[in-house]
Amino acid sequence: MLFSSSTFLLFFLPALFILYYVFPKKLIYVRNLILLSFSIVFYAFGGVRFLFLLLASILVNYLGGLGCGLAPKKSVKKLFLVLAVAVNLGLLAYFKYAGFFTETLAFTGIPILKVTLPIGISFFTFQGMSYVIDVYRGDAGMQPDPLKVALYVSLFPQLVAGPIVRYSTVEKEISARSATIADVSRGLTRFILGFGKKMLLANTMGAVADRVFGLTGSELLSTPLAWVGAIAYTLQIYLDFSAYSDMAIGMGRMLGFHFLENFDYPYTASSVTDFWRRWHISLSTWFRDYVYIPLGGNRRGTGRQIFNLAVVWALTGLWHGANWTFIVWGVYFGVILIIEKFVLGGLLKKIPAFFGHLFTLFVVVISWVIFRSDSISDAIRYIGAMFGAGGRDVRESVYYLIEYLPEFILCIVACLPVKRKIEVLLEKRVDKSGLARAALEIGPKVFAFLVFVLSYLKLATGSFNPFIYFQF
Amino acid sequence: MKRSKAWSALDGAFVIIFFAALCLVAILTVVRPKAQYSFFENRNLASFPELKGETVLDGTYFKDLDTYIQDHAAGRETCLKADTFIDLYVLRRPVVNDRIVVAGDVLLPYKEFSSFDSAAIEAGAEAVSDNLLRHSEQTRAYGGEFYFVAVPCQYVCYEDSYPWYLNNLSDYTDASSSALFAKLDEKGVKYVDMKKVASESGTLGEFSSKVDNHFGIEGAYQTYRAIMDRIKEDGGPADLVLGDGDYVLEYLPNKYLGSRGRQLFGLWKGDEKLGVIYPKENVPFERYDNDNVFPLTTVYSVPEENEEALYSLYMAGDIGRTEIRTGREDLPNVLIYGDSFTNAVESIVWYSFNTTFTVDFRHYKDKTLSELIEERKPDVVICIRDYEAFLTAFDNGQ
Repeated sequence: MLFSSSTFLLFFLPALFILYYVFPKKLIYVRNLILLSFSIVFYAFGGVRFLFLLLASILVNYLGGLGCGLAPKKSVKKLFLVLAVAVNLGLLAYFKYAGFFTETLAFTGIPILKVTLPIGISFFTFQGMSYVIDVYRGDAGMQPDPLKVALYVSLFPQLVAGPIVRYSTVEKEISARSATIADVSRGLTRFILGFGKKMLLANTMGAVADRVFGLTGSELLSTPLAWVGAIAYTLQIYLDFSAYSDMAIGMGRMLGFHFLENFDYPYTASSVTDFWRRWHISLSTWFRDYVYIPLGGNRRGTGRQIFNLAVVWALTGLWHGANWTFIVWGVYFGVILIIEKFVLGGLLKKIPAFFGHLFTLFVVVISWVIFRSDSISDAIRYIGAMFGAGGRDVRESVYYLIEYLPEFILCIVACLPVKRKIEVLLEKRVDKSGLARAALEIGPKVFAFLVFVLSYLKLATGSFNPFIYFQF
Repeated sequence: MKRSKAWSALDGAFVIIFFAALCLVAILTVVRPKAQYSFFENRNLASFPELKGETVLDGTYFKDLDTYIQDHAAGRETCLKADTFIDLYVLRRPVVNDRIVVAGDVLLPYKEFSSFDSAAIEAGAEAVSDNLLRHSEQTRAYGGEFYFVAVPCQYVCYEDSYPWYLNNLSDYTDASSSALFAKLDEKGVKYVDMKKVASESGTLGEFSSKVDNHFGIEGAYQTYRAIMDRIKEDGGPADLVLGDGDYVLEYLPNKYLGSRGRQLFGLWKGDEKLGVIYPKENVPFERYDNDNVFPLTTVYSVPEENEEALYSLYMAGDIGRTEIRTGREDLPNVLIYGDSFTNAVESIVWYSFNTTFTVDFRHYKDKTLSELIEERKPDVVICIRDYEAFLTAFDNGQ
């Protein structure tokens, strides 16, 4: 089910919140059962057959956590850990990568497997693994109640497109949580703003990007149009994915959960390293904590560090999808981060910040072209068009800029910390000015109301509405 | 700092209003009677999906359910209109609803830039001209006349109205028409190019509707006259022509949205009206559509006072087969085939013939054109096709 669907907005969301809040917070177990049931229904909307996969993942991680928590010896704990991780990765490998690997190795004569990708498998698998690993390491307590593990793995706000929530983040809140009316109101505002980002901005940019990337290899893909398409996709992927995170974090807050932020205005980064501290934070910290550091991180010399970075970035690329474009995209970032760390780091700090931002944006835009392309050859063709191999016809690019000028402007505003700056400014004046307090309290609600009305109009038109990160 | 109770009350009101609004829309969506057809979108709305094990397992059922809810959500049409209004009058987008180019007082279709294959155009022109030659030879063999009539559709008539940064398909129009007419000249098939006729008479701007792909009665009459003039010029049977002073032109008072205006949900403030032409001379006729045995006595499907006028005013829209009999044995018989553009011409052309037999091969499949010509041996056979479709060699391009 999509957050940005009529079914979710008109039926699922009101039904959940009414049922959930009918029961007082002391009946947390009942609330959890309601939440779990709704999460299962939410996932089943993608196809009931994949529900069995989700349930299998829950069972494996529950048993893995139980084994790691209860086993008396370290070696037995390790066995449970290895088994749980192996089953998790095995499921992921089969459902996500079997088709890709068999296709790649088709020249050997092996049959090509056609496996449908279950929605959100990358997210709930990583989330489940982090629980078992954290219990093994002693960073989180073992959860004896299978329903609580089930709720953690399947919690619908972040089930299919993240953020990847660590068990330690929500461990206490699964057993005891409360949400004040202010929490619900703020969560709702965040949800609505995410909904608006998705419906009003990301979808528009997506329509432009889809058209332009669809022209790859055609004489119609002129140099200016290729740039318009690349920029549109750059805006789409951030606004789409961060919108989903906004909605997830907002709904979590409405239910009493406090998920960590997943984005921190990544397009304002002054270096690629900085960009990755701000982009999909839950994924990069997952790889840092569960792959990079266990491999030795930067503790075993430069050579080993470069190797570790290469492994992490190749895996980050592969996590995003079963296609060479994703692997190359990951390796591309790995190489640039290594260069930045060992060659450019000092220079980027010395030059004016503007050039750092420009360099970062340039690297990121090119990365999204690789990411968005259907194949490596398409990516090369597209990048070629961006740098002069395309025609000179400006008409279609001018059309998109005129047609979607309001959206392009709002997208740029949404990529900058404008909202945060306004909030900080108003908060500084709260004590002195009643107007500042009123603006802080009323402003977001009025703005959210307007955004919701406009977004609902777009939802009603039933236009273009995919969530990019569902495919991962 | 502790927040005042007033702000907490505001939070509560915000949350309650939001959920109450959602619940209200949800309840209305469930209890309201469901429409099956959307007039403005010109499509059937989704029906409630059938529950099947297979579709539940693979998720299709829930996807269809979502489409159903989306199509039948309370207030949907109001939302569509509001969204269109914003695009049209607030943001003033050059292209509204991804489909309609608002160019001054004309609503044109949005055409994505696309490259065309010259070889494919040549091949299309060859195939279509071969078909036309075959029918022409068959007609001439028994002494009849065959004419191909090319009519410019709306975007061809108004290609200069498109903003410079949008595609007006002029390259394709020039390439396809040049290719087809060259082949027809080469093969000796008689044709009338209405773009040329209207351009030469300076009426191309009025030839087409401003809000629909088709022409109105003015363009249809101009086409009728050009056909009759050409038949007469060739010494063919054009004995009775409805001349300028021989008819009464009336405009319906009903609002005419056209297909483009419909796609703007009736929000366009144009004032175009659809017209009808009646011969001053009273010529009784009987009209038979398809297999109907009870005759009709009108060529116009006039809407009720409170209804929108539609292009289907002419001949009641696309019908597989229609025969109009006037019982004037001294006049020739005609067979006309083609797409929707024929409808408005048919509503005039019947006056000049004894029997007018019209076929739309998109809807009529029982016999081929060759079989019908062989069977009826009409004095005149006319094929009417528009610039957008005239290179297709199936249905009415057969």
